[in-house]
Amino acid sequence: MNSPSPEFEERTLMRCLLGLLPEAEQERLDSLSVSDDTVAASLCDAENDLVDAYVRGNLAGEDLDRFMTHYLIGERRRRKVLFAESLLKLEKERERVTPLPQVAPRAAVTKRPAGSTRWMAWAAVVVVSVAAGTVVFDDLRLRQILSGNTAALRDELKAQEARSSALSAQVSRLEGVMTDLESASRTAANAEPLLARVASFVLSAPTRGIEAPPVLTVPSDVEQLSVRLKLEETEFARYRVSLKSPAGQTVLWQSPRLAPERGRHGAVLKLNLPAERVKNGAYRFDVVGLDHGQEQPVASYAFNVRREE
Amino acid sequence: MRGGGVISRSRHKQDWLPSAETFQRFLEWLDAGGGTPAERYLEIRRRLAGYFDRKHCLGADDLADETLNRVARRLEEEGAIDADAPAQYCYSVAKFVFFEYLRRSDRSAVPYDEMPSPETTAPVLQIADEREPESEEGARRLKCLEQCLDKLPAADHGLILAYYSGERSIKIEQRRELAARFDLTPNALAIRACRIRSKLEECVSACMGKE
Repeated sequence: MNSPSPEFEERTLMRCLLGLLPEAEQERLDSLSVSDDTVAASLCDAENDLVDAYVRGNLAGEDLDRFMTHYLIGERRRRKVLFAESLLKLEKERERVTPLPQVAPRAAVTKRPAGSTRWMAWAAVVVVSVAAGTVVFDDLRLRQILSGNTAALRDELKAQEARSSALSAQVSRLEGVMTDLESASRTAANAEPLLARVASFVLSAPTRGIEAPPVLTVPSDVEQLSVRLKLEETEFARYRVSLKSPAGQTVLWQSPRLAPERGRHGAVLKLNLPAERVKNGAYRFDVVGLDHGQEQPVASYAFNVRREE
Repeated sequence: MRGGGVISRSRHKQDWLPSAETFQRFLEWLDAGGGTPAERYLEIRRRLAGYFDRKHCLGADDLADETLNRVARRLEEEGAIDADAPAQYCYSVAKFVFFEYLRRSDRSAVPYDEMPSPETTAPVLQIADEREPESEEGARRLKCLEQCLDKLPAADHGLILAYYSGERSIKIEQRRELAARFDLTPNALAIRACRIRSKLEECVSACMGKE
């Protein structure tokens, strides 16, 4: 009964949520997800992280594809996404309202008169905690602090400072790594495959005039569409593009976060998407600018597709 | 997999409902894990709903209720259930409920990959339109989230924001810190965070329904 819980790799849990596991493994995980506390928690954790990754724009490739076409089916799951978006908005709002303060130097605490030491130390603990981004209200600790346990508080402060310093260094390092990874991911996501048959198009920025949408003629043997969307302005550092059906309710494809590029067409967003996503008919690319986790509509590029037999 | 059409609540649920006494006995039988019996019940219900949800069933919560009702009914009728692990037994019943759900569905459930072209399934993928930035609904949801967060105990409030904030790479270190701070194992911390988030999600849904 008390046999150790089987451990599943994060990737396996993600594949379970995206419906990519073989049936037998899915069945086993389904069973354990109800009967085993550890597996249930891991799966719950993986699901929340998956949804958070989606709303943060950190899913790409097959994962994003499966998320859109498999995971998002179901009201409860869509509610989870909406909740995750609210959580992210709240996080961004709080980041804006509470800029990272400077960490108080330790000398400033130790050289103060005794009467103000406790207050300064408490303030420093708060400041350090905020700087580390992990303010947690712990009633017990608060009571210890308020009871005047300054020695313990100093130890705590030193430990907090050490942790904060290590964490800050790590954050800087990881930010660098993330930037590199994002850059590599964008390059990879937008790289034109060497062997795929590609049809290239340039779509101009939409105008207010009454013009018929352009027709993109796609030969039957084309596997990949390479599309350049001309931007009138580049007010955002990152954009996301969704290919939508004529009714505008169905997302058929979504890009990763894209940085505008300057070329002979001016500022453009470069898209590469599977040609199979479009058939004969009307479509549109909806472009949103990404601003601190929020999406601002930028433009909508209507077009028609004609698939050559 | 996805059944066609909306299946009404009454079709999912049987008429039988446990009496207070039966329900109490059921809670005691179910209570094999940590937390209070009521928390355990809600946790198993959440897991069952998650199972039905992964199967793309409509009304996953109703199916979870149906499963638990059947187990409670069996307990009442037979006086005892010979099962080492109550949660495992609930899963076995859930599988039957799922098969019956498939049979009840007006159209047979099919994997999404075998569904017709996306144009005919527009309502399924309306998330993009629901994700309109700065929409009135988004603002309401944010307000509800803040209200629900305020209702949490201070420690839970701090934990949930710290646990889920930041990019993935930062989270790993943050969670290690949090586990140490709360003197919990990483798994216990994950369980706690998931429970808080589930509660918050339910609170926000209820708040959105109220306003």
